[in-house]
Amino acid sequence: MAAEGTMPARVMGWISREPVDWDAVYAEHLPRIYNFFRYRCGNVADAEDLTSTTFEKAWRGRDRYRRDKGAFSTWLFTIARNTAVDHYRARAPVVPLDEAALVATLAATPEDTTATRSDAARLAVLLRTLSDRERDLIALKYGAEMSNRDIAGATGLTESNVGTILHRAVQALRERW
Amino acid sequence: MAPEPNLDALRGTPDSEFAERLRVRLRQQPMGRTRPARGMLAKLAAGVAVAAGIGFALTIPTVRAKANSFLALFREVSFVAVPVGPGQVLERTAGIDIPNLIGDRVQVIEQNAPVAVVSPDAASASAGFRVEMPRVLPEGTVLTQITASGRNVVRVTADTTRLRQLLDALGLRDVEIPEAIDGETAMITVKPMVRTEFAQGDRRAVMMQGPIPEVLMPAGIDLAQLGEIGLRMMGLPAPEAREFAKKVDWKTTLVVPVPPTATRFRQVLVGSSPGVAIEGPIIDPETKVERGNWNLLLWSNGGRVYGIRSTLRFNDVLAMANSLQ
Repeated sequence: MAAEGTMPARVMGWISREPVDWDAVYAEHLPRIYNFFRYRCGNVADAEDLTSTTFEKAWRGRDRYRRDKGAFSTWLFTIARNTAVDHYRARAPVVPLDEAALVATLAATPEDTTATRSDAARLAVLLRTLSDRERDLIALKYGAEMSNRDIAGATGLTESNVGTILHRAVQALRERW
Repeated sequence: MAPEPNLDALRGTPDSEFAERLRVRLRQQPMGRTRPARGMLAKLAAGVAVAAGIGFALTIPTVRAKANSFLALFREVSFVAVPVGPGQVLERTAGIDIPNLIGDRVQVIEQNAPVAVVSPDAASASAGFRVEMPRVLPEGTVLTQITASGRNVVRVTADTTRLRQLLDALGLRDVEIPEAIDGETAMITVKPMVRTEFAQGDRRAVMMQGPIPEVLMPAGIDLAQLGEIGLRMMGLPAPEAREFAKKVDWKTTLVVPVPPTATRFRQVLVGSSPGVAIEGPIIDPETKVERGNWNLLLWSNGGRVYGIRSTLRFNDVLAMANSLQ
C-alpha cells in the first residue's frame, strides 16, 4: 500500500489536502467498477447504469477526499457496493423467465446447456444462485480483481474468512457449471 | 472430470461510447455542496476525536453530566504513538463511511475556508499568531505555498445508537455503551492554523502549526474509559487497552496510530519538546517497488501543535523542526 493510504495520512488528513487527479482516477477505476457490477448484476445495461450512478455520487462528493489512492479505491468501492445494495433493495427479487428456466436446467443437466449459452451468460445466471454476500465477494475478486486482503479491508471480514467464502462460492459454481 | 467454470467470462472493457458519455456528463456536473455536517469539518472533528482516543466515545461517558458543566481538554498536549497491527480494527474503518454514519450528529457552528497568503507575515496577520519558519532548509528546498485556515467550531451530539452501529461495523460487540449520555454535547474548536509547503525536487514537505484545538466535554465523565474505547477502535486487545488507558493522562494526550506499514516510530525531542516520529516506505502501487520514504513528525510546544509530513530525509525534517523561529 502506498504511504498515502496509511493511517498517519488518514488520521492527520488535515496536514495534506492534495487534489485528486480525476482523469487518472476515472481511467483506472472505470473498468474495475464496471466489471464489479457485471459480476454483481450480470447484464451490461445494469452495469452501465450502476457504474454511472457510482461515479456521479463520487464526483459530487469529490471535495471530501484527498489524493489518497488506497483509501480512495476503498471509498469508491464502498459507494459501488452501497449502490448495488440500493439497486437490489429497490427491485423485486425476480429472475427473468428465460434465466429462471436456465437455472432450472442447469441444476438438472448442466452439460446440455453448455452448448447453448456462452460462458458469460452461463456465469451470469449461475451467479444469481449464490447468496448476496458470496456474489459481492465474487464481484470484488473476479470483477474488480481485488486481492483477498483488499476485499477484507473493504468488507470488514477477515482475510481468511474472505478466502473461505470465496472458496465455497467457487466450489458451488464448479458443481453447477 | 467436470469442466472448470470460466470465472473471467464476464470481465470486459466498458463500451468506449458509454465511457466517454459518462466522462462528459461528469464534467458538466458541478461539485455537490457537501452538507456541512458531512464535510471536512465533520471529518476533522471525527479525526481529532479518534486520534485523541476520545473519538466516538464522546457519546458514551459513564455519567450524565450537567449541561452547563464542561471539562476543557488539551490545554497542553503530548503525542503518544500506538502501533496498529495488520488486520486490526482501525484498518476496517477504511471501508466505513464515518462522516455519513455520524455526520448528522456533528453540527458546524463556525466554518472559515483557508486562504492562500503571500508571506509568513501575512499568514501571521491572518491567523492571529506569529508564524514560525525554519531557519534551516535542506539544500535545494524552496517554500512553495503558505495557507492560513480560519477558526472552525463543531458541536458533537451523543447518539448511542449510532455508536453501537459503528462498533458493530468494527466488530467490537463486546464494548458496553452506557445509555445515560445520549443527547449530551461536546464542542471542538479548531483555531486558525497555518500550512507551509516546501519542495526539494520531487520531494515534498507540508508543515502545519497552530494553537492546540480546544475540546469541551461534559464534566464528570470517565476519560480513561473513553480512552479505552478509543484504543479498542484502534485495534488494541481489551486487556491492553484497559491497562494503557489507566496510565495515560487523557486531558493532555493525543494518541497517534502507527500503521503496520510503518517501519519505524519513536519518541523524539524537537528542541526540548517531546514529539513522535513515524517513518515508512513509499511503495509504488503498480510495480510494488519502493520509491522512497515518508515520515511524519508531530510535537507540541507553548500551547501550539506542529506537524510535518514529508518525503524528505527524516534528518532534514528534524533539522527544519529544530530551527523554527
